[in-house]
Amino acid sequence: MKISYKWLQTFFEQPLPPVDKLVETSNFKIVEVEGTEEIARDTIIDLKILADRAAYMLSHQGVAREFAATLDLKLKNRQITAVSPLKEVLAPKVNIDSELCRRYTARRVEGIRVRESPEWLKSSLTKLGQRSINNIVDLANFVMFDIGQPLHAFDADKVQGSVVIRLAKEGEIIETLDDRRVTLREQDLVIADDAGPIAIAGVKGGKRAGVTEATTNLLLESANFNPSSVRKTSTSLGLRTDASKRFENNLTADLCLEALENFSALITEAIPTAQFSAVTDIYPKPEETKKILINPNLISERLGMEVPRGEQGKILARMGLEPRIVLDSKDGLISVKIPTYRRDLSIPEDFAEEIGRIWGYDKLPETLPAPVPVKVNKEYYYTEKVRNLLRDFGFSEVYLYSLVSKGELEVQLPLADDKKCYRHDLSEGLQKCLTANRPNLALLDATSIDIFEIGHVYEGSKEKLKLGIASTDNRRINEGLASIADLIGKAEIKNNVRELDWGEALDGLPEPNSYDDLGFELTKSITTFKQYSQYPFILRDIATWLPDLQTPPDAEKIIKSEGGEWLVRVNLFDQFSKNDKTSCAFRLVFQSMDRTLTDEDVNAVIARITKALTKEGYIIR
Amino acid sequence: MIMETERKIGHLHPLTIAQRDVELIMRGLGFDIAFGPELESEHYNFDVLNMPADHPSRDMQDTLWLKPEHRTKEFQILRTHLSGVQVREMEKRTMPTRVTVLYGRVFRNEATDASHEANYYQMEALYVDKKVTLADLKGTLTYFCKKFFNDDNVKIRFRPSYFPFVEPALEVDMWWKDRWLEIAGSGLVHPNVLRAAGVDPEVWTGYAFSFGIDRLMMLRHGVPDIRLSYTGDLRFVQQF
Repeated sequence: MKISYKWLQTFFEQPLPPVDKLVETSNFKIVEVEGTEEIARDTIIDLKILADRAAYMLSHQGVAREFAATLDLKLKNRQITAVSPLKEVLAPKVNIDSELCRRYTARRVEGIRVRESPEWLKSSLTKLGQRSINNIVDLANFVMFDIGQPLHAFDADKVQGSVVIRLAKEGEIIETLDDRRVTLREQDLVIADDAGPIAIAGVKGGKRAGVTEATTNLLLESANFNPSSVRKTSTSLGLRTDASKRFENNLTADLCLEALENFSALITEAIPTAQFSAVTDIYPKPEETKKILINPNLISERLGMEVPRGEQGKILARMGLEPRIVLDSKDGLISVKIPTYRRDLSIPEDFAEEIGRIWGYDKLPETLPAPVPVKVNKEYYYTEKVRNLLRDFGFSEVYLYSLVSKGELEVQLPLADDKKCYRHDLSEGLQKCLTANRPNLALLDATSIDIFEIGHVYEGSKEKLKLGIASTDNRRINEGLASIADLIGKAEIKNNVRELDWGEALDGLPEPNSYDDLGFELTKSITTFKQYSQYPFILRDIATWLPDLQTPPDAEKIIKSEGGEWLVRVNLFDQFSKNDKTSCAFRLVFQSMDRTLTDEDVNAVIARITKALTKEGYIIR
Repeated sequence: MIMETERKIGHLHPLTIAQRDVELIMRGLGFDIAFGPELESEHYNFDVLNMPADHPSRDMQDTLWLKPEHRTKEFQILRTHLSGVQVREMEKRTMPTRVTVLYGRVFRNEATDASHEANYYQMEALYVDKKVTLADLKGTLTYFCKKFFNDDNVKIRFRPSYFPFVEPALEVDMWWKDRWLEIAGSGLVHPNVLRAAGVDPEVWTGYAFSFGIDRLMMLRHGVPDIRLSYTGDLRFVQQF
């Protein structure tokens, strides 16, 4: 939700604190600020309004109320002068035919002219990232961003007969303002006239009765609809609008009339010749203001810090909840009136949040629950044991993707073709993993790729915990399996991978008494990850006779010091003695972080190394 | 003569190492371990967590639903968090209780990049007792972060937030290496959640918090991209 600093100021008598103070206050006491932006000598503050506060904070007024409460600022009385309706202009006939419409207010306006918006209006909306359309639509949007109520204007001359709010007929079609032909279902709520739907209630207006440049008479709508109905319709039609977002968050129906009057007043200001009818207001079940009793001791108890009752009362007063001390109550209860727009306040914990955040979470002390003994978890014990055994036997652990391209369990709307299904085994992933790692054998200084994974799969109509062991060398799997044989029994290898039902194997194992033999210790020395190269490496071998000295200089050290940044690994792989002479053979791995090395690149380095070794008395074979 | 290659010890995945640390720290505070299914039901993932159908709170998570023909009575989605396991555990246990949910692979249907993956790991902790407070929560989180990052200078701060299953709901920032980092979500267990799990909210209160294990691991080791964890590349794993 984007908020203009200047617009926000219109709600207050006193000047607002600077932007950075508002941002800080919001972050720690209200909602997260996603960013700020300077536009046309104003600052736009982007607030992340989550579903709990979206019923009242998707407007400048809602945000202003929050700053008033948190910064103890006085809100201005913004009462507008209502337009005077004329008897000659007939109020619209409206009929609500579904409980999903909670309130419908409407009025007819005559003698208007649709044209470009004045500069102040255009700028107010464009600063918030909204497109300016014309004076009428823009004023409706202005009121929505001002106080939160979505409004709609129809061309009154295109509305045939009376207005009814009803469920759509299955297959009924409406062309929306943005030129989409939408087929409705019978659970979708519509605004209709004698000829059919003219709007999808709370979601989008229709083209047929839409306002155009030729429009002279308007039918203004300020209504309220059932939140989940709006949500279902907007979701199924894929139409998320500023209006639907507000309605699905349970906007109060008490706002309708105020918004319609504000809209009317703004129209009169822009078009002084406009003539208004009386308001048609159908509000079958008016919302009631709730009264709640708050126990200040319970608030302090939940928070774990003492917030004095008087201070709690002050906070509640700043929130506009009109707190009253309940006389004769043992706990010093406070009674509050919850305005209908505050959908988020009903239980004591809700007030623990309000009082906690405004009083300041930074004032919370820190306490720790006294430790108690734990119960040993069998699955954890043996799973960690098997991990240890396999690791000690030279196997490394991999974590592979659960979402794969093929399988029996398919997800709806996958993001990518290779993430369509929940995996049915570990083997496929492990197999690919062997293939992918095999070219790096020299780089890893290994003779085989030995890996394992413990993970969930779906197989035989069940989710299972599996253990998969894989190696490019089948003998290694057998050895690996032997190392955990007393945990899993006999096993058979297929295609370099052995996969077994670890959950089932666990069932057969005795209950452990303690975790002690796992030898766990908290990681104290923390290794820093080093990026590895994405480019191919080049291998070179150097075989050399050791110089005839008592203590020959360290060949590996010489190689490393001459090797430069491309030399990533030196491995002594062969050593033998013949006629009092000793031969050493080194395997050198070269790789660059930023390009593919050529033979020439490496030849130059080898030449340098050879020269240095020769100088120290080594004889290259 | 070819030299006998000495058998080298293998490497555990850094996410395993991180989760073992998490378990050890929480064990020190008396928390047992629990696991749960990756294929989860709408009931445990949403309904019991104060997230009714057709409510905007469900938008907070890009849920991966199974195709309608592949849904069963037991599961319909890939879990988006581990909070359902908290409820499963409360149903099984007697109060008071302390539990850490571990090896919690969760799923999100969102575009992947250096900090987002389709599957990743969370841990969740739940503490239910009489008069559990936000101060207890803050103390626990500070203790946890100091231990995990092996740094006594770590500090914790709260910011208001919204998670339907806790009230008050808090974002947790950690001061570490001279900067504030967003690190966890937390709050007091919502009475509706306790009630749904058969725990009387008039008697019991609780706190819950959740860390992204990948994020903990990446911060600790300076790993720049979440996707490295799931490549199966041993050049990654062997560094830990």
